[in-house]
Amino acid sequence: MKLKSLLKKVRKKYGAEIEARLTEQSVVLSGEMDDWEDIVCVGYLFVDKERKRHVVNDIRLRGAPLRKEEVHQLDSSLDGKEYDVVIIGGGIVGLTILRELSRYSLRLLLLEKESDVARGASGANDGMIHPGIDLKKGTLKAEYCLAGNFMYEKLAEELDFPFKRCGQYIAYGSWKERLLSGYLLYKAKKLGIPGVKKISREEFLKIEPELTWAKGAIEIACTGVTSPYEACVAFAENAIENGAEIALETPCLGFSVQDGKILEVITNRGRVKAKAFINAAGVFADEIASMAGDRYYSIHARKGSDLLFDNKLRLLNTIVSRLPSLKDRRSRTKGGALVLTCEGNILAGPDAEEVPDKNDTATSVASVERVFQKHSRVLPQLKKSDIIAYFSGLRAATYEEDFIVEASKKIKNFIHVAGIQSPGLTAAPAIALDVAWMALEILGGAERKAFKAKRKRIPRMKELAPSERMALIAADPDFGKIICRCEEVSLGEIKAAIRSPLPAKTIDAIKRRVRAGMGRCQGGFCLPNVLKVLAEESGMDYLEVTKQGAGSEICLYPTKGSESDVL
Amino acid sequence: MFYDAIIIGGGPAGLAAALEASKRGLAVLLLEREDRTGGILKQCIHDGFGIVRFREKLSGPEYAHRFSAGLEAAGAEVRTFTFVSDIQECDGGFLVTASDASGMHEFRGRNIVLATGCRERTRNQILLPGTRPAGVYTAGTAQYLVNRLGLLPGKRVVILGSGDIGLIMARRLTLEGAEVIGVYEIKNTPSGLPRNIAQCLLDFNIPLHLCSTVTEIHGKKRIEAVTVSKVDAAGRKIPGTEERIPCDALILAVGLIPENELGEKLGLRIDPKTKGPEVDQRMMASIPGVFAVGNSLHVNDLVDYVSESAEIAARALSREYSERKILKIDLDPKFMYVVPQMLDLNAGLDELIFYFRSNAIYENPRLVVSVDGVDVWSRKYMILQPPLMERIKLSFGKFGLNENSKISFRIEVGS
Amino acid sequence: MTELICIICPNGCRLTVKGNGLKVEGAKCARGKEFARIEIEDPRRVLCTTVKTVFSTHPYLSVRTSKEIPKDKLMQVMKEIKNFRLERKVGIGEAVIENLLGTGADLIATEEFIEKEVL
Repeated sequence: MKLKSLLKKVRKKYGAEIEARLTEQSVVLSGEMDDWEDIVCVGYLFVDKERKRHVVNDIRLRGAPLRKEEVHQLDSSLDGKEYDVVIIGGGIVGLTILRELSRYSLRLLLLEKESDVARGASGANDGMIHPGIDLKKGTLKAEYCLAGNFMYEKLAEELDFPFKRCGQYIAYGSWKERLLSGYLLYKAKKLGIPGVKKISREEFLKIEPELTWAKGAIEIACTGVTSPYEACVAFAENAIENGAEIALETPCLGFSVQDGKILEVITNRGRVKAKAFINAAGVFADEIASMAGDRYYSIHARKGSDLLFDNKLRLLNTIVSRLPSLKDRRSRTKGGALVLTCEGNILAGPDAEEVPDKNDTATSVASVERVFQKHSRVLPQLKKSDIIAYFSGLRAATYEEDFIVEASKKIKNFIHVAGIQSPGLTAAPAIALDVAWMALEILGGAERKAFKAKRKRIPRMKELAPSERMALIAADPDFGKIICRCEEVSLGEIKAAIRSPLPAKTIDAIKRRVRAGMGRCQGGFCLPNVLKVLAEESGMDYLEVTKQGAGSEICLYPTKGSESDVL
Repeated sequence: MFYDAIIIGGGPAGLAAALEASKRGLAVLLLEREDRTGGILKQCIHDGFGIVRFREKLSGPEYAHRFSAGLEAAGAEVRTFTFVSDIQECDGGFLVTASDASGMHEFRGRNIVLATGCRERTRNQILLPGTRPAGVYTAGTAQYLVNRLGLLPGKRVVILGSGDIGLIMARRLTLEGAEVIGVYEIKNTPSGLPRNIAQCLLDFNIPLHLCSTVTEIHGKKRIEAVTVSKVDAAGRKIPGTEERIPCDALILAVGLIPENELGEKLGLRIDPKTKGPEVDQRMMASIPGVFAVGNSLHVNDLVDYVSESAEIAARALSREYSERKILKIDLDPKFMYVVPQMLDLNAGLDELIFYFRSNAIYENPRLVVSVDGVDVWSRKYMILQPPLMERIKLSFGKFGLNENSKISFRIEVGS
Repeated sequence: MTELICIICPNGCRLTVKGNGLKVEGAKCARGKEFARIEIEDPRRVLCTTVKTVFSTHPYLSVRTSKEIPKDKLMQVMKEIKNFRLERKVGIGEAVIENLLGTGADLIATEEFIEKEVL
């Protein structure tokens, strides 16, 4: 690498003095600059075209506030325990690996620092199961994406989570855009994506009658959609049913490493021994790597915001987008599509914005506007007043913009699964297969055990036929008591979530499992009732009920004297 | 069996409709989603209900009790904890599908009265940016938490929006020991009634900041602060006016929306201004036999009018209706809305009740009603303002209306 | 001169009071004039709140004062009932506490007790 000339370029373009040094696996940048966007751009500048080294970008943002130390509950519930494999991170990647490994006679533990699984990017994305048509041939992304895509039918059936292979349509409205569509056909052929073809305006309007501006479209038949956190919960529950353990609100705080081997992981609940450790920590993967003394890549957080519309809109049947203009094509995201989610809401998203703080999932007016404007070009009937929710997630991007799925070269029993950004949800099941093999290699193999592949989800009253509803209510009258009016969620469903293999312990966990509070009133009516049920079912005081774990209590004080002298 | 009327919702509107209809000897079924009737009144423990109707200042539960107490004696069938999931037209009326703890039920009725109330706008509908921590609640949710569960969301509270529930909650939270730092209103006039500004804010020295709004929420797990900013006449934030205010709760009182998902599914025509169904003088919507009353029709300022609109509908309930001859009412743009939006020439035309709101504050205006270009009725007001709903009683019988008549309402200002 | 907003009815008339409440302007009705005179001399309010009960099916009962009490006693009353526990079931309109802090007003129940828990 020509470090000197690159450094000169940085000096000229950004007026910044930074340092760069080469290590065996990385080029490490350090220094201080004034603008985060610039720091990220400098990172990209040093990407090795031959992929011999990763960029570790340690350039600090001048004046950036220190990250707030998170306060964690301390106990010794895990102290001294021994496992075969410890997985760090309870997103789709960690959970698919956990479930895959639960086929074997292994003692498994997954650590998740948040109060529930799928709290990071896995829970804040559009649920698309991509074909990977925009990816580069030969990248891990392209390989795992296509492989993962075709695994979803079987997984959804086994684990009973929603999945629809609805197809995706990239529409064009002018001859200029139409020219670009030829490129997509070429890409599909090159990447081996089946079922990609051009369809006429008439054919397209039969599928999406509201998009009257379209002159035609490219159909990608193998694109699908799932409910991302339902999928995560499904993998988690099935793994637990097969003997795996998940520790929530349990961050990895460090490792004890000896002779190039991790002996223990240090958590807020004690020190845990294991034979192999898997880093699936999303945007924090580089920090976990650093704790093991093996940080050879860095992850920068790229924020994307999605808008969710009222499910009463009947404007969309599949997934659509419009061919991007040449100007848009330079941005580092596929640009998002309009997705009809499994629950029947239109979801518009996401945009892309580099953010210095890996905890920053705040939304801004600008990004909401940006996403709305972009998609109203596709579906002009969308109204801002029909937005019922919006949220942001952080993509875990490496500077090479590819996945890292490999055993550590330095630490014998450590596997990196990092940089898994979009299409990570699609790719995860395929990645999990490879990672499971890597782990078994470290462990020297393991026996297969009686594996229960099937998992049943909590029945959804809203989706059932009257006779099925009748049967459920007859078996348990709680299924006849509707608590969430917007999404028609019954008391029975809420109690089932609280009693599930990975028990819902927070308001958000219930919301994500059974959709209470997910509708147009956003929990305005049902929150107090859900709070009551959660407290009573799990033996908590009302004041102990949280939105998303310790420190997020719904209410802070009682109105009246605090003695609990209820008869 | 066919009920004469199935009433959906057991709040003040549904209770009044059920009581009035059963007193008239009709077979009435009232379906209520919650464990008791009373609707939102159950948590509205403050007084001021029934000023017009009873000349008393009752609390919400007391007002509801005046109706619910005599309901069963009057012969109405009431089913609580019963959730209506679907209404369809069927031969001779409507088929209502509902569920409760005993199973799924189908009820048939010749008429449907929608008394489903309204819901609160959330932070998402006003595109309030920032993090999504605990401690941010709509005023109605906070009211439930405080009044029925005895829980205080926080002790340093910011209230966004000066709607009546927000003002009521400012007082309520103060009484229960919280400090309300301020009420922030994006408009240049308060949204709530003047008497609530007086007795909820002024009585407790709670500051009201007009032309100001919350522009960001801070705090990862629990709310730690909000940024408030001044806004210009168009409601845009004025850069440089940001102020960070530490708080442990943010209460939103940013408007109400009639709940009409059942009506929309049935195919009722919705008035984009009221967000409720368009109705005629009987409160009958665009589908004959379907009535919309109370806050699902339009957001009322006083419960007294909620009950009144329900009783108007109840009195009009019948087993058959003659064919409708609809006249739409023309409005000048100074109205926010007028309800009813249309007249059926084949229904009674005398002593009709109209509810309206102006779209802005007008001093000394005159409300004028004209038929075919001739002014037939007018009334002077000292002031018209959006928070105050107005009610008038008009008789059209004497004007010899026909299908080609043109009825217009206008607000005259000045001179 | 004092400016007041009348709280008697929803009209919320803006009142101007001159000379110890003897001259009231801006009131649309006689009740408004009366309100202004009392408001200047001895402002009073009805207090609406809840009391804690010992019954788990209805832990907080809504109550109000049977008549207006001096405005400056509102917070005092709230403090007084903070640790109060209602131990008997009362009907709507019945007194929960009589002659509250010597004001002559009773604290009365404004709702019926829920007898059985549904949720």
